[in-house]
Amino acid sequence: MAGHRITRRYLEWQPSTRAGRALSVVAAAGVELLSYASAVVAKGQIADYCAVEPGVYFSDLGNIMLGASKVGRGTVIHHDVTIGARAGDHVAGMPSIGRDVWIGPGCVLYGPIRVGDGVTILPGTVVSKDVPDRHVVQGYPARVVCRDFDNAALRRTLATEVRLPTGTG
Amino acid sequence: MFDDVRVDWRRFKRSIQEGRATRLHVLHKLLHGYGQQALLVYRLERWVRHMRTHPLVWPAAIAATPTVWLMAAYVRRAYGIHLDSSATIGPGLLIGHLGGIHVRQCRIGAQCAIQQRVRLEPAPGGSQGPRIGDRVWIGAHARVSGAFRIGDGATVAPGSVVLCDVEPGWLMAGNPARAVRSGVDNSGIL
Repeated sequence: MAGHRITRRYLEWQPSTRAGRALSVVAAAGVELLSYASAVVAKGQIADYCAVEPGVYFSDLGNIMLGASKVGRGTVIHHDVTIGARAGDHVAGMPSIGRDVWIGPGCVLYGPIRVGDGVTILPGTVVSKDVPDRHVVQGYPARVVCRDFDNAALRRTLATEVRLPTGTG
Repeated sequence: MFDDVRVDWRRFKRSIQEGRATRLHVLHKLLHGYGQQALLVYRLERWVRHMRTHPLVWPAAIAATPTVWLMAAYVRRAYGIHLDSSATIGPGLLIGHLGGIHVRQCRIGAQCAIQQRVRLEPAPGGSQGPRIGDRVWIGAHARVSGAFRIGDGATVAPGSVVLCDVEPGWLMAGNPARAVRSGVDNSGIL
């Protein structure tokens, strides 16, 4: 995550002077090594174009492949999650993740979809369609199991077991 | 081994050519080509194992074994890509990303593509893994465990759990995976 922030800063930086250009070559090598090291440590990668707002939590267990166009603040992403483009269709776009989203372990999100605010994606779900605000989805193909669910308590702990209110959905 | 590596390299070069192919760009892609590095180590491991039965060079092969074993262990631990030497992988495999890839005791044909967190292995307790044909695309988080046959040109959607034989050209999706469509052309995503 820290590696991603530094890489973004480097990509936005446009050196104008000769000393700046010389420094940028050194910085490029540094950024390469840093991204290699973070990929090895976390077994995951975050794409350079991905705009991650402050206050996003990634699980320590790693294995996260993040290619989303945007991740909103307060979002919790657990381990073994893949977010990316539909295969061979990078033009169509990447998923955009809203705020306060909880994504459980082992989920796959792909295609040009929009995941709303406060959505809960239960472990092992494969999502390829839009998810409205505050919905809970589960399974493959993903189905809505609950329409209005507050995941604030879920996001505060690191538990991956979800107890849904009965009689909804 | 060398023919296979040459085909792998050609496939890799083709996959990274998106407009620009300067030497620096290739170097950058090679540093982050974790799958390509893992595949090279796998080919080396297989080659050294094969050379141990050679009448002349077997002492050199045995001397090289610990080094190759260390390289394979690094790839396994650092990249999370476990291409076991018990698997038979055809030329031109493309590994999309790194992490959680388990390939053992199976056969993979030529020009296939696998992504992160793919598991191709025997069923628990079994010894025979899947037999995968040529030009098969297997999406992220997909799992094929058991002695199933996957036909040429088949496509396995991300996250599927395949528990049956797959005919050539089928698109499989779901958990457990069902045939969604037949006669799918996957040459655009390979």
